[in-house]
Amino acid sequence: MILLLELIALMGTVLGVAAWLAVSAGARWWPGRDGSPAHRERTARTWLYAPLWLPLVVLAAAGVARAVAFGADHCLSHTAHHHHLCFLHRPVGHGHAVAWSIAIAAFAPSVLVLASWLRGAANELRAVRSLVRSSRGSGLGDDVRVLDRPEPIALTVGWFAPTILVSRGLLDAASPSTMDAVIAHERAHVRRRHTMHAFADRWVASLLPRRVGQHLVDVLTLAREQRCDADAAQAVGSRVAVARALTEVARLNRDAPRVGASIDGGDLAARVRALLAPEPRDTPTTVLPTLAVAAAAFAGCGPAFVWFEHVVTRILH
Amino acid sequence: MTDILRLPDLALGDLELAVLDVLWADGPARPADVHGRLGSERGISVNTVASALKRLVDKGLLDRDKVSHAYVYRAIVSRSELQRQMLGALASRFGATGRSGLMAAFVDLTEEEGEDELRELEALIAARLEGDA
Repeated sequence: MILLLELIALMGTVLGVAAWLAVSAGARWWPGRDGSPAHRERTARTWLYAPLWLPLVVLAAAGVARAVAFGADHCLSHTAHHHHLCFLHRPVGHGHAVAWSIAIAAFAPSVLVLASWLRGAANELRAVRSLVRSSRGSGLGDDVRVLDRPEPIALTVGWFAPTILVSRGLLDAASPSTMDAVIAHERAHVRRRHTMHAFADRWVASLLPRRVGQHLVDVLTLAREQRCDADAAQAVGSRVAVARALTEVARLNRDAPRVGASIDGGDLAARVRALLAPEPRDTPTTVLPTLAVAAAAFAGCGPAFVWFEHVVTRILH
Repeated sequence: MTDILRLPDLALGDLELAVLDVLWADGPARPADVHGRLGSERGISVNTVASALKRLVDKGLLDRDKVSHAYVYRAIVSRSELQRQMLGALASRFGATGRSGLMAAFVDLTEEEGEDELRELEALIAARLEGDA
């Protein structure tokens, strides 16, 4: 059993590195502009999380496939001492420090990055709570609070119980219809738990090469904003009204002093143009995940995995 | 005003914010005065209030002068300025690699739309509204 775990750790590491290389090389060529926002969000997340999910799919497919069908002859021809992945004919023996060493060496940077992020996030979360506590009630609902800032700010903060913060400057300057759109948009972020998703996405993106990770995060950010724009349009009954709210707030923001913050709201022009275009139909995202899973299953059962398995065996022998 | 606070210092407790609220509303005060406003409702001692005041001095949010035998504390950062620093510190924590995962804004606060592009978008919206009318 321990050897099977060793095997899974080593194979998972090698597959994870292979998936990381594939995403690093391939994702930058995916423009991320076609299809509905929901489609782009799903596809970008499929790319982003591939180094995590792809090894699991391949390992599961390979282990099950070899146990139930394809692996029988292969397993018996090599005896149980051969280090192949099969949940039925498990290899015997253990004690290959090299397997764990390689796995730890590969995953240690991820763990260190995660630890650093969590430490920073704890500080950040406490500061967000302070920011919310320093705000005042708004009269727009318990979930909306006011910052004493002259800049036109509207944002959603926090993970588990997000709060909507709007600035006094925005309340004083924006028209009532714009405020309705702004609040509806921010409530969509809360309902969809976007701050929590964004945090996880940014952590995983930080494991990829910077340009690739930032590209995928940008695609995800724009897609999330556009989904909330669509929700807001449904709430206020007009896509044009949301587009007008976006340009009105951008105009106010342009004329206001800078707060010194870079808080992402996505690409304004792309959002406005999308709202003025016919509402896109949500196309089911079937092509990429299906191809990926099919490729993983094929690799798990077929000749590609045999080659890969021989590499792992060579390391262990 | 320059940014004097770092992110850990911006994580203020309930009592610290309550103390700041009192000083922002009433102006400079001694610990006993602040305790008079907060002590009974919170069931805390003057010493607890004095400790909170001291922490806020250490964080650079308050200043104090000795008057007679007691310190008089005053806020040197307004609520608005504190919020500006909090927003700035939170949003810039990730530097050039990205933005905070804890916040989502209606429009990017630093996105500098070109005047021409913004006018073009406004014209598109106006044309659409005219067409719908």
